[in-house]
Amino acid sequence: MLSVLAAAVLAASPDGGGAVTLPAGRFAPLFGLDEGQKDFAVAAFRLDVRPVSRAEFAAFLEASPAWRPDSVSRQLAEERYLASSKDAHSPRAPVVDVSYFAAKAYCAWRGQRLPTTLEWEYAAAADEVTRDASGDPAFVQRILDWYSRPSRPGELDLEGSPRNVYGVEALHGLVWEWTSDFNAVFVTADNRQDGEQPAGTMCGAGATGSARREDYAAFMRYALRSSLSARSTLPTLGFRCAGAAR
Amino acid sequence: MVVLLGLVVSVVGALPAEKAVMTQPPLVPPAITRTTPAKVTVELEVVEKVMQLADGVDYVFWTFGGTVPGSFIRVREGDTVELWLENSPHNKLPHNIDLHAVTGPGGGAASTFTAPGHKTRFTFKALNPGLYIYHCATAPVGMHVANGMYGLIYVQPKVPLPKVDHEYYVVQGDFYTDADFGVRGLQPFSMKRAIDERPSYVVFNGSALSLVGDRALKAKVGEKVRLFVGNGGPNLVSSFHVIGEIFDRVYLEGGQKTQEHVQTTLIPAGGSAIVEFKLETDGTFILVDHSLFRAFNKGALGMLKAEGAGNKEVYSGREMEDVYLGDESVASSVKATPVAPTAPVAADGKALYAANCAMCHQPEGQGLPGVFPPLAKSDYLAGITSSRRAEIVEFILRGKAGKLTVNGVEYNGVMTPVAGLDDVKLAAVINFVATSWGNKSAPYSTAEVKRYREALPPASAPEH
Amino acid sequence: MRRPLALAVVLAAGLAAAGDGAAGRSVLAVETAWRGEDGARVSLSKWKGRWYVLSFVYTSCAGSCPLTTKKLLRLDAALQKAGKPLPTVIVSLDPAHDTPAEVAKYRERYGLTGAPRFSVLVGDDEQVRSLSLLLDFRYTRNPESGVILHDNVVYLVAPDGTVRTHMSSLAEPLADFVDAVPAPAPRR
Repeated sequence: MLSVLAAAVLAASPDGGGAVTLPAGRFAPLFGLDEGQKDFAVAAFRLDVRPVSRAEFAAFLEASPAWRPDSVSRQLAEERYLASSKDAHSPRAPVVDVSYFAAKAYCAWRGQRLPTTLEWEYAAAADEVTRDASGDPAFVQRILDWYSRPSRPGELDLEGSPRNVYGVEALHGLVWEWTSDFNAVFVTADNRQDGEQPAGTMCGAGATGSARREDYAAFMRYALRSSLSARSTLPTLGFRCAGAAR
Repeated sequence: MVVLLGLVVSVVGALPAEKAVMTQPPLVPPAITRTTPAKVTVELEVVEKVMQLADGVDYVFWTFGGTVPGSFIRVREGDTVELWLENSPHNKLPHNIDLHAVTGPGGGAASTFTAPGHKTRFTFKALNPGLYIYHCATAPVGMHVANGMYGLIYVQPKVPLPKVDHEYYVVQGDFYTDADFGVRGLQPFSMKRAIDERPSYVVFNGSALSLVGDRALKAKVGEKVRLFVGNGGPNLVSSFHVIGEIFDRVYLEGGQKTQEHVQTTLIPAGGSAIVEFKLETDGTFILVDHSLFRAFNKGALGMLKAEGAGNKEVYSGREMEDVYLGDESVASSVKATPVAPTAPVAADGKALYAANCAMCHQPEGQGLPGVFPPLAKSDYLAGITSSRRAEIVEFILRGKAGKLTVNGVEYNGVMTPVAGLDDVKLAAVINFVATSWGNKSAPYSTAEVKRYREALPPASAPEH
Repeated sequence: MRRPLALAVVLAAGLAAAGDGAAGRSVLAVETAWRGEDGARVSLSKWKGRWYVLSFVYTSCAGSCPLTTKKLLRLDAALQKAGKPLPTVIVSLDPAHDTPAEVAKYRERYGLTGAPRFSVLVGDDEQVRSLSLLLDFRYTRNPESGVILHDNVVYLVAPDGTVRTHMSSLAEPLADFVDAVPAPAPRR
């Protein structure tokens, strides 16, 4: 029934990916909850079905010369900015090697914003049939298998990405994605300082303080986010946009 | 195979600067001959890559320098070490390094937390001499270590250890895959088994193959050998032993205190030991974790081959054999039914042999003298008599403990049962052995194997 | 188990990783808009051409922020003593709560009233997030409990808007920071 609902709210967009509205709900992310707090309220919001593609980002560059690789400030994007756009990928493949600042500017250009970490995790906890599969070992293992593999050129292929229960595709298995407040969590570089750190913020402490200590896939996402700076560009890091629910 | 980064000597401030010489396992950088401190630059690149965990078994390793264990780092007590950590842009994950040789919070972990496509640097003073593990400490730490992110750094004492003829680098690690030992193909990491501390592999230097056959450690009779041994874990403690050797000296836990005449030394996860011994006679000496099922069923087995003249005074070899009628037990006679020689071909006997048997009996069936009986040119198998046809199936399925004489040499070991072979595979692997290396026996049919299997006593009987 | 008062203090320990990258970052790379003392809109480019001290607090914070504020006062005194007084810009991490009245109370509490060198800027969540990202300064606000976890850092900003150096607002001594300010401080 949920997938029917999701299909119904699919909207058309230039590349056919579109966006879907995710219903309001409650969600317990791996980090961020206070001691004794069970979950957070998540308001309804819209989220792109797919990561922003190369073609879509190229249209943005066309309209925004300041964000082209030859003119962007090193303060806003590292040397690698859009470096892998030279590699042979389909124009539908996700744009990668894009900094937070550029991703945010792209979404603003579309009148939208980046999803918050809470929204992203809320959407990404769903598998094809349930809204929160983050406690399902098979689902976690599937995600982990991708995280564990070195990236290969040409693997940025969207075809065959399963659509989750909300109608969102490729949150896992393709690229990491920026979130608007990725620097919000104190997963430190050294994550083993249990006890010294506030519960639920350091990943060491998180291992005991988090709701799902076996959700290694989520640990890895939070670790990746905490290693980033807003001008970072990675060949495995893209983004998608979010907006207010209609 | 050896990565020699070369010595670039220049002067920075008061300290001479140089680039560390680093080596891939099982090699160790040459002893440092300097007698004064230096500023030593160490560059480690993190590489996520597929390598063999066992024959035909691939695994995605996360490595320091492209090998498991990572590059061996050798510095001198009192040196100032500038460490660069480079995370390849093709990696998916952030990584860092905690060196147990570092005095300071996290051992460098926070200072070297590095996103893919980035590099970081920190500097520490090597205050304490000894042999130390280094490892990745990024969340989830256990998984980063379980995927191979560890190695050894040796802080050579101001007064160096006595010269030896060979120094080698060996690190034990436990690995976790969904499939059991030996199942071929790319095997993903199993979070569940890691948490349960049920490894499917326990190996030296990142692979069941890394120290066997052509890759065995080598030395000559009369030479002194020093092993720098570490245990990356993440979970198991190692009972490190070399079959047929006694360690003349062990630097316990990689520190300064020594113990002499040691048979087995305990190496904690995240710890080390330095062991020394002189090779008094020739032969193959087997490195094991003496928690033996790890050695014979999960891969924790390596070899050191000593070439040269044997010393009969030290070890005579077998001197006599005769019949011994203890309680005059009467051998039972097993009658084998003749069968039509139709050999199954569906399963790949050679591959099954490599996965299940070659570890002990060796790739060419040559065995290991005195330890594992040969299958090639073996009088036991030369023409498998009808009474023996059932016995061979039993050995494979139930294991074999106790005395067995092959080619006039008595073996008194333990063969562990081989799991996971159905009748088709069992027939295939026996037929491979029965018709290879000059063996010429009538092939087994699947039906014949099935009949012998069904006639076996229950598997739970402990004396099998 | 969670100790809100202690949190902010221990967070400083994790700073080394994030803070090391801050040197050379420009706070002007993205335009941010704030409300100043008098309610007027102000941008950080107002301080362009000057050296200044920059830090983050929120007025209802009972953990590390009082220590940070005291440290800023000590730094101010040390800079004066060294003959190189600088303006100090304090950015609120809690724009929803830090109304002009709350900011006035905060100034009163720490004796910032008679110190025109101190400016307290309040923006909105988006502005705070943008500035934090320019500096690799980490913070998070629990939307339901209002608890804010944050780094504790004091930045020295050069006339071109780039960070010259930084220190923990809690533990480190002031000397290196003061030494990093050129003397005499260029003033206009």
